[in-house]
Amino acid sequence: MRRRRPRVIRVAGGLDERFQAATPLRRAVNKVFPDHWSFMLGELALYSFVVLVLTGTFVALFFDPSMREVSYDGSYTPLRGMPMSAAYDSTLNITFDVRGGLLVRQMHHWAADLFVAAIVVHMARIFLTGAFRKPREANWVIGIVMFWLAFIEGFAGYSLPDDGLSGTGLRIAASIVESMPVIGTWASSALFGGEFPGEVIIGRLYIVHVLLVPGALVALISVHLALIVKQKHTQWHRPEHANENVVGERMVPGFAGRSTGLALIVFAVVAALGGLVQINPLWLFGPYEAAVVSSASQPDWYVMFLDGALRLMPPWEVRAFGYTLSPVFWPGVVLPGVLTMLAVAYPFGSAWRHREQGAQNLLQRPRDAPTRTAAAAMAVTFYLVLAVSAANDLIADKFHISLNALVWAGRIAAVLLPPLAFYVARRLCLGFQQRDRVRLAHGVETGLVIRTPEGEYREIEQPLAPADRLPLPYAGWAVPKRMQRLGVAQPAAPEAQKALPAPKQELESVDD
Amino acid sequence: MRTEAKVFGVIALFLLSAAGVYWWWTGVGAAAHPEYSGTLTLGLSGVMSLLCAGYFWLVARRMPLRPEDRANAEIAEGAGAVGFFAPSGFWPFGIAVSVAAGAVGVAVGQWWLLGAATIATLLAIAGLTYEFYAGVPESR
Repeated sequence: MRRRRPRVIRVAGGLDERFQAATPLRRAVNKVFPDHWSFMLGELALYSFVVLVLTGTFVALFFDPSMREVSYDGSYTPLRGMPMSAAYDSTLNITFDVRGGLLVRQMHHWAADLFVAAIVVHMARIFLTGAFRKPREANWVIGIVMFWLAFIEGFAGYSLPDDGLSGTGLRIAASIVESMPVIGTWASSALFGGEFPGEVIIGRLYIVHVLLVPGALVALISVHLALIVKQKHTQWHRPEHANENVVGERMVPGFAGRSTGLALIVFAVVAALGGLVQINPLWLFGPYEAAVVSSASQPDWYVMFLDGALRLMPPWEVRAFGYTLSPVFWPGVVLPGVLTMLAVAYPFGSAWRHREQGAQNLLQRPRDAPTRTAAAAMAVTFYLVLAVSAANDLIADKFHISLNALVWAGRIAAVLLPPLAFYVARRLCLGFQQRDRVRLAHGVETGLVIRTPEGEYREIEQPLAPADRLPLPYAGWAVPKRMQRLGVAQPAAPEAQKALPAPKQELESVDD
Repeated sequence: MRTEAKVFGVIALFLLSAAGVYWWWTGVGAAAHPEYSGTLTLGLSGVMSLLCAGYFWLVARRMPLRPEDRANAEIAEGAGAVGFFAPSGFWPFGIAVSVAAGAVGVAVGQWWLLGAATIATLLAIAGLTYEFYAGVPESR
């Protein structure tokens, strides 16, 4: 009698006969990912995006993107009877009268801040380790485009409620658009449907915020991830790692399990922040009035550097050929444009300078590329000076410092501090390189100090290899720094000298 | 060791008398009361120096004279292991930052910050203590 196959096998076989999914699924499930904490930063951005889509869908159900004037009649007494736009009215309604509305709105805002933060940190990781090099230049450029999409998405998002703070931000954006030579006034008038603020901008920003940019982001995220799968993930220099292989864990169960855990942590952290920490209390700002600008207006953190640049820019107005070029044009349009172009061009300039031809699948430690690390330090310093300057009115108020003095301090710092940071970071990198080479040649400091019969004080050093193999060559990875790393708990030399740190993770497999 | 004890004893004597003078000097004249924080700082510094002096005195009583204590000693007599000195480490900085955060918490009345800083301080102390801990050597 023929024995029937188990039900599971029959069902799975039946599915495969219909969808022919076994072969691609096997490839996906067995895909190998290298393992390092810094490789999870991009996923933070991905999972905050998922939170954004979920919470955004909820608030969109109750939001009315209209500038039609209504009179507030909700449960927040101080604003009762005030004329305001339907957008602000419905945002107040979400905040005070929709069940769970305030929680979800705050989660949405926190997730947006986390999303951009994760993108920036992820970009810094890619830049500092040289993961943008051939063949991954395209993914680097896609990442920069996604950063700006996230920036626009965030700006459009916090402009939607039409409160006193967001209206001020929109007013600044309108000025930046108007500052563009020749097309400025036309562009502004087309954007706002006439004079600022007009009656259409909220509806237009709404479509940008819920359809155009999220759609573009989903498309680009798909390409981004597909390129990672196709080009394979980079990995660090380790004993078994080579430019031609990928060493790590398989998609299932190792990587997928860890990644799911990270997703749940992101959800939990965003929910905790949304529930416990107040963000954008827009009921305190009141409805937007075009004639009113509140002081101490700060945008979300990722917009602060542009705000700071606007505040620091000297009032240099250029008049030529009958046109006036507003000083707003330089920090508002030229600065972000130049920064973006520098970032886009960096991989190609770097490859040209170092004459790199082939694929670069092994990462570099930041110290091993001192000029690049120094460039990153310079960029971060410039960014910090601008971001802090965006809060200079608050600093002036709280610390009783003259605002004009702070503006000048910001101008001087924006010129002087970045080159200083470049120099310091470069020297630090070279110093770290030197220290690694010293350890490879002489050994690890044990901290045990002896005094010789001649009266000399000397520290005992533990060499990393027998004397005939010294100095060891640098292998592009961390050199042991402490005795614990050498396994001192084992019986002492000469066995201890052989006990160089073994790689912790197992060599699982080499991907296709 | 007696020399070290005497050095710290002199420092303690100076600091304690300075605390007394400071207390008296800031109290005379128009001031309603002596300046407390400076008095306390000087006084506590003196007490801590006294602690060092007392420790050295006690240790000196229990051990024979070291070569450094004798005028007729040879250089070679001092040869041998001196002890363990941490070659590097950022944990002291970690302790300083967390204690400073706790002090800020007290100053601005943010008690949650004091709680968090206390936990951070304990963790940093543990980190400092175990920074060079390499386990118990296996018996041969």
